[in-house]
Amino acid sequence: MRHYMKAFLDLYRKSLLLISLFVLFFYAIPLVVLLFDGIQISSRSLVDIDILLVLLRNTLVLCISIVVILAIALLICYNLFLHHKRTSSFLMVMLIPFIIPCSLLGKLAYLFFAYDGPIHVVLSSCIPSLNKVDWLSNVTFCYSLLIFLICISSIAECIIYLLAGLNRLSYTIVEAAQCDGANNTTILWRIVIPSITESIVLYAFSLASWISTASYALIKPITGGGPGLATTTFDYYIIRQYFNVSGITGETSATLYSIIIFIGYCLVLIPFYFLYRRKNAEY
Amino acid sequence: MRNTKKCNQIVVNFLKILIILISLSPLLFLVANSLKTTHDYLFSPFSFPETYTLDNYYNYIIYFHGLKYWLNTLLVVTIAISFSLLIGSFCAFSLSLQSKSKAIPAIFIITSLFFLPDVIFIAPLYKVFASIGATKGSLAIILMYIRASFPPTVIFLYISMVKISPDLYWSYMLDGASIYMIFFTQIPKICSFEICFIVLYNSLSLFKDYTMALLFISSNSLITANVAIARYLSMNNLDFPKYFAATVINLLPFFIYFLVMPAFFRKNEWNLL
Repeated sequence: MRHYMKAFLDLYRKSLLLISLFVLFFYAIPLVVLLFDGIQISSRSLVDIDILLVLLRNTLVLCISIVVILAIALLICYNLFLHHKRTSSFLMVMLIPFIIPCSLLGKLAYLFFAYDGPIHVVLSSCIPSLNKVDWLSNVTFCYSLLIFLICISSIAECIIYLLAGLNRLSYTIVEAAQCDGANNTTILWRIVIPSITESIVLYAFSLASWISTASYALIKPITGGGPGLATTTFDYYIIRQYFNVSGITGETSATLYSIIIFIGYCLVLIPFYFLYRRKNAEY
Repeated sequence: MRNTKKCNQIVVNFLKILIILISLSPLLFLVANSLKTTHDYLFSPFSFPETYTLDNYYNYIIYFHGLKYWLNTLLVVTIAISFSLLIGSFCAFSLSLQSKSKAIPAIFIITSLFFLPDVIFIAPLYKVFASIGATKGSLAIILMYIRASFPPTVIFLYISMVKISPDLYWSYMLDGASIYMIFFTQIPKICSFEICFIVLYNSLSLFKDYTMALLFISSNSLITANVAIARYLSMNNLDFPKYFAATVINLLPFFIYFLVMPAFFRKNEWNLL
């Protein structure tokens, strides 16, 4: 027995070493480089508080899609759960936009809705007043389009997350509630949602993180971050500063914004850590 | 009461049809227009082709050497996923053998890395990789993909492996198997579904990647399919059927994956979940 435990412990040490090497190479060294570069920058004027607020506002507007996705996914998951299903042909069809790369979805949306695109041409032939309007220069329309695209490309992933959470909920509880006269809305609101709160929070956090820092491929083909900075998110701004603004100015500005995101991420992570610890202490 | 139920059913079915139409429309549009001539596309973009042509596919494969870029992607993704799977499953296995108090801090660190935005590290990692000359070849993008696929591999496999009773491992060890032998021979059998799932999950997200490939590959001959298609479009300005044909070729593995997946999920229980 002791021999086995020793083997397990030996394995554990080796895996910790591997994880440490991974963290060191891919996170610690780049972080040191980032912070070192940040310290060397003498002028802090490269960070504009107005731009920061605009980027934050843009991200928050796009985060509306999280609410829409969660609402639709919850209804579909609950429906699947009531029918004792873990997958369906309907869910498989919904996975198609998830399979298509975001850059392609963005490009297709641009082709559809551009000034000389098919939808614009068809609609303006029916309604002549639309002929003079370029929809993609309208900020509200761009936001609606981006939210719609985020929704259709992420909904299947959200369903997978929520189904994972629902797997822990026993169907007998739902049956007991039905026997007590609870209707579907009550069961969904009082039993299902509280039991999958962790999955909901995890998915919401993951999508919010994606929207704020990885939506470059989707936004670039549709709006190019414009008009002005109207649809620019944090990642778009950093990539543009680092790779498009020439010289040291762009590089340092990108570095400073990266540091700001990292600090923001840490601030969000700390409450999560305490929540995580408390949950595990309960178990 | 019956009328209300019927009404609800009609609304639900209507919504289902609407969602199916929205989900299928990009795919149908792509495939239908990739088989049209440019002239046909410009005059009737929403209709099915009157005359079917494979010239667009031929053009992409023969003149643009499109398959080369697809193979580049396949090579890079395969190397990265194989490496992450080997190291990640080893870490997940060893963490699953430990008590929760020992495993949880490591899992928490890996989970937080999973959500840590890539964009923070783009600039410093580019600097680090450029300093070791990795950006000249495919090494930089392979490393970036390993970085992206390692945390989900550890998390997903840990969740499935932690459910396996240690008694099973002890019984193997009593029969004379070493812990490494168990890892290489028994774990792939026990967790085959979870391993397939994580490979599919990682390959899907890496095949879809555009931003990292765009930034971390400097050599024109080594670019991945998504970047190549973007360049192909800029070369064939307004010749969208050619672009659609290129994207259909790029998405072909996903179509196969999509056809196989329902059977795969029905055959196996969602043990992972």
